Amino acid sequence: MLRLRSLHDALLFGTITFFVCYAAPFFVTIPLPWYLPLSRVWVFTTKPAELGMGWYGQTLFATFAGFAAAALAWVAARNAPTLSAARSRGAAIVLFAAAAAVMTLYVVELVPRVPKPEPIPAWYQPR
Amino acid sequence: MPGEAARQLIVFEPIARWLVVLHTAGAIVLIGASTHHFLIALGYVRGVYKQRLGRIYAATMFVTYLVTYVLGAIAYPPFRYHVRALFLDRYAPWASNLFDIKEHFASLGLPMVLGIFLLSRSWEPKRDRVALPMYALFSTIVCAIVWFNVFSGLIIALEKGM
Repeated sequence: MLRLRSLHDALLFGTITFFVCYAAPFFVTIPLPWYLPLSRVWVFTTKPAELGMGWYGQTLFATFAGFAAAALAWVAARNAPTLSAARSRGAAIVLFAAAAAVMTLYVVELVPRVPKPEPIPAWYQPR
Repeated sequence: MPGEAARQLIVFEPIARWLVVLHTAGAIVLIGASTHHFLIALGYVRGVYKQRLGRIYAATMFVTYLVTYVLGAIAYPPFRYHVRALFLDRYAPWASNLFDIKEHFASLGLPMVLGIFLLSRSWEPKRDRVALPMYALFSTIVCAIVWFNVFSGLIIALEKGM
């Protein structure tokens, strides 16, 4: 069985780091892995010239960063005192605020977006 | 035709419909597991401790979330081009935007699903309620994400399927 204080702190810092890194491409230009479905290749770039899928790289980046933060928090909490109710409540409030902020950010950014469609190829037949 | 050559280049296209069917099957199990788990966590808040069931639903939710997520990720490239880029972006941009919100919410749920699973294995709520705020919060958000994503997926597929 895992030590509760270490697990709690690892989840707290790992989850918040995941949220921050997942939302980071909105605020800073970061080169990430992109998959180009028409060329069937992966590229490491900030924004590809053709149709690209950045969701995989964005999720991978946030996952690695989240695990790294969780590992650091785990180590830091090794000799920390037992988890208190006040710390637990505070952590839940911070996590709620972080989750609400990042989810609201995506809704606010994506709802009014006007996507740019790809040109219709010669073979395309609607079905 | 150059277009025909490009059409054949999308990875997983021949099995995309089956992947989406399996993705949907996973989502059906997931919405049940996450809802049951949410009710168990609500019970913890009220002082009713069905811990064995909580562990079963947490494990079921963890496995089905990952399986559903991975199946969706595999089916994504053909969807991205044939459904989103060629149709939704042109004729139903709201559906494209709803899909992107859905996929981002699914990713944001990943650390919380892992957290629920690990806490359910390491913490005894009847003996010590100290981890309850985080557990109940994760359970509520994940359940809300799953419900939102299942119904969003249904609405998008009604507009244009694979």
